[in-house]
Amino acid sequence: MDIILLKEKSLKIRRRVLKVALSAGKGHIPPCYSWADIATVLFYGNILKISPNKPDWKDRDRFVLSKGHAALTLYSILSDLEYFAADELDKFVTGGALLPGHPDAEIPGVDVCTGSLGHGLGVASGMAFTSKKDNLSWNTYAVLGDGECQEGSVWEAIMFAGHHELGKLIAIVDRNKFGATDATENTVRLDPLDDKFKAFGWDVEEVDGHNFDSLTSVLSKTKTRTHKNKPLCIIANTIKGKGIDFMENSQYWHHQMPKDEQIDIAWDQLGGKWID
Amino acid sequence: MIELTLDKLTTQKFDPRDTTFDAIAVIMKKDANVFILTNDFNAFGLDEIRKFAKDRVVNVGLTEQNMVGVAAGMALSGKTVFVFGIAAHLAFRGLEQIKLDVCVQNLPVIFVVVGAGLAYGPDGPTHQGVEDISVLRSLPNISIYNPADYYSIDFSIRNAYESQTPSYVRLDKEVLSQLYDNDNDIKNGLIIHQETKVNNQGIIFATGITVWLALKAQEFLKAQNVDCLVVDIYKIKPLNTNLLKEILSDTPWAVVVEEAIDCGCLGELIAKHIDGGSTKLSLMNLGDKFLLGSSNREWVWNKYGLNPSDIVKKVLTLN
Repeated sequence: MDIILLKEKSLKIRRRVLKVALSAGKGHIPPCYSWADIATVLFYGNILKISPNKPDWKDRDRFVLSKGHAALTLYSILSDLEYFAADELDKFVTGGALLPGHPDAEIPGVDVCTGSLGHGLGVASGMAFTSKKDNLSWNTYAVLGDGECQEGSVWEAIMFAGHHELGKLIAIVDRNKFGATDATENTVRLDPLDDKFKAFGWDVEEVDGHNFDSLTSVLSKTKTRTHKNKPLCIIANTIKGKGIDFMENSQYWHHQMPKDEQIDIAWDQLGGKWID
Repeated sequence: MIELTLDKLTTQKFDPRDTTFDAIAVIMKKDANVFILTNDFNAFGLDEIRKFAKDRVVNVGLTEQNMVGVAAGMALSGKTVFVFGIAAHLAFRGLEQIKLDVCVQNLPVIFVVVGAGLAYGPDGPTHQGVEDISVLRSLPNISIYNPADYYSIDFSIRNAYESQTPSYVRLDKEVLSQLYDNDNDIKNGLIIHQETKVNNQGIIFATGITVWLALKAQEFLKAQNVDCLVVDIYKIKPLNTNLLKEILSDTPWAVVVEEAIDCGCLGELIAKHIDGGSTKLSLMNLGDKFLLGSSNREWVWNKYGLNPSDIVKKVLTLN
């Protein structure tokens, strides 16, 4: 898919996220938007080797959304790819619905139940360990929030993956520089994050997480790096809330819902009000 | 005064860890998709497995949370994973991973933990395994085994592997003797020790090491013309509730002896299945307190009244 089409997809995903979140009165819009462009390239940019018709296809690439609170982006894509019926999105977080606030493993297309931060990279490492041991073809991709990189379990996994030279593991850190209530550098400093990963035996690439050319270039290379003996961390510099200016780079926007005129502004900035 | 030592309780000697890894070795020789992860914890039997499956025994270092996460990821990729460590550490440090990564996804990860109850009593509250059952039995999907002899350890490992679901097998550190010798006698999860069949017998329930205390108490009671059953509940979850209800149906009294804290203990489970008010129930456990200082097993049995003579006294007040 070319860059123009990727941009269109990305906008549609953001619009779908806003629509569903507003209807449900629930959802983490800003964390969804910081990785929306990464997700677009992964799923529509011929990066992930997946088969929506066969969600459990054994040779598929594994995908772990470790920052599970940003599930609405994933759900919007899985819905668009017809992993499940389109009306499931409209039932998000309603009683008995398929889609809870954080992804569980009963959802077609979801490989791992996530939502409690700091779990995804360990599980992804176990997958990549298996892939390496059995010399299998698939890669494992995990998207982490930068805030969750404050969890000790993440660093246990980083050590494990580095030690076992899991070249088929790709961790993408959504480096939007915010946790839930404050900047990461104000709570427990993460920088220099790249040097930390390198010191633990990882290759590191840094990329503008909203630049489709750069994302496509960096992520495309992951498909042919199976000979490498180091796991790869892609630090994607992103903007929390990217696409709606009053949410961008704000410690006050994490899971809040826009209200009143904010809703109109949000729709204006995403190309106009949603019309069914 | 130490009234009874383990030496006096047991004659034949089996190290639970050897028994366990013998059973796992048999499985691993047949199934190349079985792995063992350990958090820098070792056993003679583990080294024996390394001799034929070096690549399938992985020491992940002191990273319990990651160890459980990795096990889940491997299980999601088609492996069956045994995770070996100390009960007190693995069950608590890795608890959220056990819950979310393994149990929610109902994966074939089998935790094999050493240090059931007061096996590490003198090492202090950091090492005692007296709360793990209470905590883990709250998790759906997980099976909990607490075997008291080498045969039921072997059966537990086989049963856990065959189930291909989350399992937690507790091991004592003490050498144990043999109580059982065939699957048919123990497959129901509850094992009834009955000297003579008498109607309306009382029951001493026990699990793990306390089964030996209960059997000794049964012997003492027999000498005083009190016939009772001893029931070894080595499979605590899922509990065989049908058989339990059947056993309890005409029981005048029941005693539950455990090396466990009171909250969430096996006794609570038994109490739930006592129908009506005709059965007198007494729970003999460690109450609601941490054991500080060097809590040697026999010392604790004396202090908390878990010795066979204490069980006998309790039974005589109920009988």
